[in-house]
Amino acid sequence: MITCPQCKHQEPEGAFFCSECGARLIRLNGLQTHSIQHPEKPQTAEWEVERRPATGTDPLKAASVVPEKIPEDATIYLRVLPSGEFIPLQGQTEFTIGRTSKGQSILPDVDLSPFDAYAKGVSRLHAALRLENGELSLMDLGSVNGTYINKTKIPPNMYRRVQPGDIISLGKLSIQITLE
Amino acid sequence: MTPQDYYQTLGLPRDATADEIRTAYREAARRLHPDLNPGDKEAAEQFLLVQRAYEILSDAAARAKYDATLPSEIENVDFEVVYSRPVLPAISEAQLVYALLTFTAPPAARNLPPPPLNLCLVIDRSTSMGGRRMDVVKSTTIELLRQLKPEDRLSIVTFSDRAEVILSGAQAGHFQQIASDIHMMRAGGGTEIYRGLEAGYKEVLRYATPKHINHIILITDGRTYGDEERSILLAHQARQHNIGISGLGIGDEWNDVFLDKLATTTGGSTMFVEHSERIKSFLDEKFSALSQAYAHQVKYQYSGGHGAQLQYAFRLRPDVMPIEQEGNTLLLGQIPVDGSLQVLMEFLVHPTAQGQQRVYLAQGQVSMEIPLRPDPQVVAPLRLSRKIGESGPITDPPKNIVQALSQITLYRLQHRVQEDIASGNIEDATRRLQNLATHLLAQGQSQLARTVLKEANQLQHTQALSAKGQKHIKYGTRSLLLPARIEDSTP
Ligand SMILES: [Zn+2]
Repeated sequence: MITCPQCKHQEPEGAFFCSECGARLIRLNGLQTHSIQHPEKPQTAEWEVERRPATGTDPLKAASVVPEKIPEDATIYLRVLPSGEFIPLQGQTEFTIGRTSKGQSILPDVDLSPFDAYAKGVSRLHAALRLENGELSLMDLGSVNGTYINKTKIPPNMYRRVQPGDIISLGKLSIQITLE
Repeated sequence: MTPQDYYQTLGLPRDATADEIRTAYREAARRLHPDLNPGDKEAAEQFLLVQRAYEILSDAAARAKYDATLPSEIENVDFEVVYSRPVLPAISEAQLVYALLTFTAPPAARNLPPPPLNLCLVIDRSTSMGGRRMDVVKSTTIELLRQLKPEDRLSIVTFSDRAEVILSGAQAGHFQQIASDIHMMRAGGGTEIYRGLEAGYKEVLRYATPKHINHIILITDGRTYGDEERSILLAHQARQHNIGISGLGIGDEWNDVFLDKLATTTGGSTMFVEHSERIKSFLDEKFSALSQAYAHQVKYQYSGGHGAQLQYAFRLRPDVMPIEQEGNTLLLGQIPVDGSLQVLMEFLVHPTAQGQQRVYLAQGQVSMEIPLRPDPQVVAPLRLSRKIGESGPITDPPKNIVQALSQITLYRLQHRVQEDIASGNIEDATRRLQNLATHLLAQGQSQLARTVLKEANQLQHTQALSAKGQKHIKYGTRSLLLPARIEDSTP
């Protein structure tokens, strides 16, 4: 039996996807996914993201070459998983993401406290999301538990390109970038 | 006479192992040995064939050379099966294996004239079809008439609470009169699909020949009440005569489960258009798909192998439809002249026995009608099996299987949602919709994802999906599997 990392449902050997929640159960080496470059698998985020083949062939370049520009009139939302609540990002081009606690002087633009952020290992100022020339990028701000893009850990203090549909994990809290 | 097929002689699949070849040979040789069958000429001949087969197949180099000369297992069709695993591990628990069957017309088929069509449009003219919908149907029908080839036949039936034959087996020409008859169609009355189907069925049956592609296209925007069962029975009758039924549902109110059932029973397809503007392109598409059929009524009659059970079958090409299991027959659909019929099957393999070398997933025969052949019917044995043993180095599963599954999974999630709701399990349904939305967003399907989330919200308030949202999600997730995406399934 295979246990789905996402919902713990049991699937028979040989299954590729969880029939309960749709999560992918297999690791693919030759196929294009975002987990290819870094085989070490973080324990925290279990979301698999599969791109359609049309988005490029070289997985190493996938994150930097493929993405389309984000239209100027689009609103970006962060969708908190698994509850699915949307947090709109408006009025700025750069947002810090984190949680709040008593006596904190610098507050994050996006406060994830209502989503169990503390228990899930989100730092006070965990990451920053920037929109520039229609491109979104994400930087880990030296957080304790790290930041992951589609299960791949990113180094701190460096912007990494992200795009709508990507799943970002701050510690164990996952959010998906969506566009309206 | 066709040359000897060594595999058939020994009753083996083409990927038989050396062990299997040896075992099969010993068994056959023992059975046919001249000492045991004195004076039996047939046995003696068989014995020689078995010897010859073993000579070739037991020699790796000779076997490879021989394999390269093997024709497709199905006459007049290129055929290929790909499995999700080359070898199944011997394990004491159940496991899944996928088979992707691809049937392709031979290249020469492209130069052949298209088979003649014998179609009937069965058009709902109930009150709700009035106005724009009816206008589009009329103008499209007249245009289709102009495209008829000399041997084609077109019938038109309209129905509300009764049916009317507007056109019976018309052939090319005589457009003026027909066009004015079509213009006379008026909307009014209820929707009784059985009446329309029955009249349409009679028309198609009247002109049906083995040379024709015989098909009914039902166009409706409403629900029928109380005559679903009779309609399905009629569909079974149609199937007996190789008549397919496809449904075109317009708007939100039609009964998708019912139309899907008519289609899966007969090897047809169901299409969904929200706006009347799209009716034309969908009918055009269906018309050209039908006239490009190389083979139709492709069926797989199988007896389940002892070792495995078919869980589901899903057609991926030329159109996307779940395939229903009817007894032991799968009606797979049609093979287009310039493309493929592709079907994905999921098998649950039972725990393997000690020393078991191969598991038979399904065995039986494929049959189909190829109208252009002097004898249209083609039948070929088809056995799906996998070796059991040590799996070699771990390789990625075939990409096309993974890709198809990633999307079938979404379609099936959607289906689970319907089941959850039907059994009052709103919480599970909501969670599943949220998962579905996440996967859709990850695949870049943000519009469909939004529809899904809207419905998840609606579900919590009303304990049900909206008729419109439900159809968008069903046909939207289904159309993810189409090679060229049809953009209608978004609001
Ligand atoms: Zn799961």
